[in-house]
Amino acid sequence: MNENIILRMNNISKSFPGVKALQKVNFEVKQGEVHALLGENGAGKSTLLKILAGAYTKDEGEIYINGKIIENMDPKTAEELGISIIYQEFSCLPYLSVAENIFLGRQPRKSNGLIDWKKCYEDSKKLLDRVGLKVDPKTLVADLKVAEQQMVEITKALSKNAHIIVMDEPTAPLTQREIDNLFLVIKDLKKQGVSIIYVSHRLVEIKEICNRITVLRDGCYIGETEVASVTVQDMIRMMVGRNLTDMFPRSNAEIGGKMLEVDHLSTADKLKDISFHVRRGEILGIAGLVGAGRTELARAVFGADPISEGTIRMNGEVIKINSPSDAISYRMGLVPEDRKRQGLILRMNVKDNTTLASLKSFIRLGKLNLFEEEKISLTYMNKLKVVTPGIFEKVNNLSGGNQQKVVLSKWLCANCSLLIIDEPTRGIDVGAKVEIYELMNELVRGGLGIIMISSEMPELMGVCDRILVMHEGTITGELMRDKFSEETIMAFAAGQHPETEEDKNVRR
Amino acid sequence: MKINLRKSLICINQQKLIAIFLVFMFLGFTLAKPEFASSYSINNILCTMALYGIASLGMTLVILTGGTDLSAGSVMALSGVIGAGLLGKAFSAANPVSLPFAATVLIALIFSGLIGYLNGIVITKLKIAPFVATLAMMSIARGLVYVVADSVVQGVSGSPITFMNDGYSLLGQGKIGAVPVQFIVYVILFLIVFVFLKYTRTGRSIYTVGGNIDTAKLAGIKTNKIIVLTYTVSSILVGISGLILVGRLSSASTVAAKGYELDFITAVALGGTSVAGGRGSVIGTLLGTAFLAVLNNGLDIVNVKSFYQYLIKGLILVFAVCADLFMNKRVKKS
Repeated sequence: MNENIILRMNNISKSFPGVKALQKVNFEVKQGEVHALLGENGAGKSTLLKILAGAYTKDEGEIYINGKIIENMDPKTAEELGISIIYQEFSCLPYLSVAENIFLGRQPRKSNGLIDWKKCYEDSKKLLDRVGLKVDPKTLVADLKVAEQQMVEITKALSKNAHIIVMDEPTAPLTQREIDNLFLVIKDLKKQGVSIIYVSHRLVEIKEICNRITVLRDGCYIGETEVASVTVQDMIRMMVGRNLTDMFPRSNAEIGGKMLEVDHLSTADKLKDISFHVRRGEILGIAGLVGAGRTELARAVFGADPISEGTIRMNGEVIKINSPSDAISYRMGLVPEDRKRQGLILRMNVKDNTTLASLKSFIRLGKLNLFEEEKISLTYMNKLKVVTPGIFEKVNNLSGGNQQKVVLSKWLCANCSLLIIDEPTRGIDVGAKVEIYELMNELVRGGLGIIMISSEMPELMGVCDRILVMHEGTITGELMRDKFSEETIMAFAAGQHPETEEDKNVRR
Repeated sequence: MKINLRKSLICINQQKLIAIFLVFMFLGFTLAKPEFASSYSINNILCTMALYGIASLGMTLVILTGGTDLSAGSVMALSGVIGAGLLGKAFSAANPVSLPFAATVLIALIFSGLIGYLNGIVITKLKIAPFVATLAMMSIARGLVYVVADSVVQGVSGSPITFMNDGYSLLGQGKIGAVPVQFIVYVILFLIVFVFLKYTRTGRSIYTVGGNIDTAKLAGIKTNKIIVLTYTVSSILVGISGLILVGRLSSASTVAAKGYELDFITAVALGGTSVAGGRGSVIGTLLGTAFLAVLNNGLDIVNVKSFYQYLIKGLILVFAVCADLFMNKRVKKS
């Protein structure tokens, strides 16, 4: 590999009112390498990258590009120096063509000043070839898959002649096959001499694709090392500053009687003959591939989607759930997968989100008792250790882990006894993940039952007492904790071990 | 198979749908009343198209940025009273100025542009939503209409400015061969706006601003400038429509063009331009305008009472916006 150091950031410091976001951070990227920037949320990664992109100005320190010191970094300079950032939320315009998105605001022009569309399409085609995306440049971006849109973003970066491309959580929205393809493209870009700064919480991927890592913690530079010389455990230790031998704390809760029993549940389009139960004090995991019907099951039980057949019993009594408000009245709660859109109202504050599902209980003499509302919110904020300036902070400003805690507060405040949690730690960094697990454990110790849907195998196996595996709308397997193994779960999830009638009867 | 059918159905996009409706409607009216296809009636349709179409071109630009312009009707009237007032040849005119035709047109359009410029400034600098900003301007501009008219004709306040002028007559009533002059003006302006939107970076930026303003900023587009420019150009186009209206009647009325902005928005929405911004074209607006013009003239000829015409236009607008939402769903699914 070329040993040229293309980017060097030396002793970078940056303060915001009241916070030291970065303190003397060093960061170095070689030409043609993939360099992971690691750290928990709030460690200073995004601040550092924003300084690199010229969106923030540094208080202290130097930035060198190709050995030349850059005094005033602003977005325009950064672009001219070949620095390009691909944000987590893509910035493609859906109703414009691929070619136009690539050349947004820089469309090639003819000598008469009018846009040369022919050249625009031809140039796009050439650039798209570099990332191996075989689409017509005239296609509307809206008609592309998410992974293809990401490739368009990368192409856009290449069109600006980028030498350093920053990718922020690039694999989060992708399927495994798309991730494999992305990695092929990244390897190819490396060969072409492009350097990539890779930000991800998925440490296994970092082992696979990156050459070196730089770790930040609490705004400080922790270290830089070759990926080959560290394990995932080492990376976690560097990030959180403590040894997480116990990534998955056990609850040791006493498992009681059956609380929720579902019999022969089917829905019109997805679920077929599903039967299972949840016990008090138990964390029941639901595994399966994307599209197996896990989220649909959660929605059906919670009354968000109609049930065509089957019965649901709560504490032995048959109940009718026609809407989420019915489910809530039976003390159920749903922590949805899409936290930002379904779990929270981002523009409302911590207090309003906490009491959202239980406003009725705050009514005194026909009006809301605001004092009581604030008091209870504060209690949950402290109990769940939500890090926020106060209960009047908009949840939009909270980190993913803290937002998730607010969603949990909402259901605890509603005096919930059965929680369905869909992807509890998606987009949450390592340290906060453990906190969420601990919180779940504490809840089951208090007698709650939890159904946890997850795509992360280690998480399921680490946290759950029992795992159900789904495949194409049915339950194909059930495993007790002592039988957990990744291979068996995968086999069930792929539908390779169809369950016998006998197994089904046992479960009932 | 089912999916393929759905897709191919959607491929008949809103523009094509409107075009097909247009043809059927034309045939339908002609069958019902053969005089609908007479040269007199066609001439009427072309004139209506020009009057509504030029302003709708402007409205298209504004809607593409994700905004709206409720002041359009008032600006039309304002342009008219300024243009007519400056002629100084109005009956019972009290104003001392007496300018030639070209100068009155120029000044009327500068004032129209100024109103649009102010709209843009209020929207970008004071960060007031376009709906509210232009709603306020609708009232302000209408107030100015009365002020101008009152200072020109010092009779009963609110009375129209009536005049004789060859320039305006040519613009509003003249023909070259069999084609109305105003329609020729419309075609020329249409081509200019079409090329502007498709072949200039500024034009493309309008789509970007409406599609995602943050992306536009990151791409180095000066979004505020684009928005101000769009409202300015739009109001100038609206002003031209206003002068055509005045030319047609040889009179500038203080109540002229009241509520016309809604017809312009209807024409734009019918043409498949997303009212949320970022997607659409002036070709669609041309079809939408033609649709409204044929509908108006046709309903008149078959003697449908005007209140039914309102009802029908409203239903058609709902249909157009539903079609837009339906199209959006396709995007979400893929």
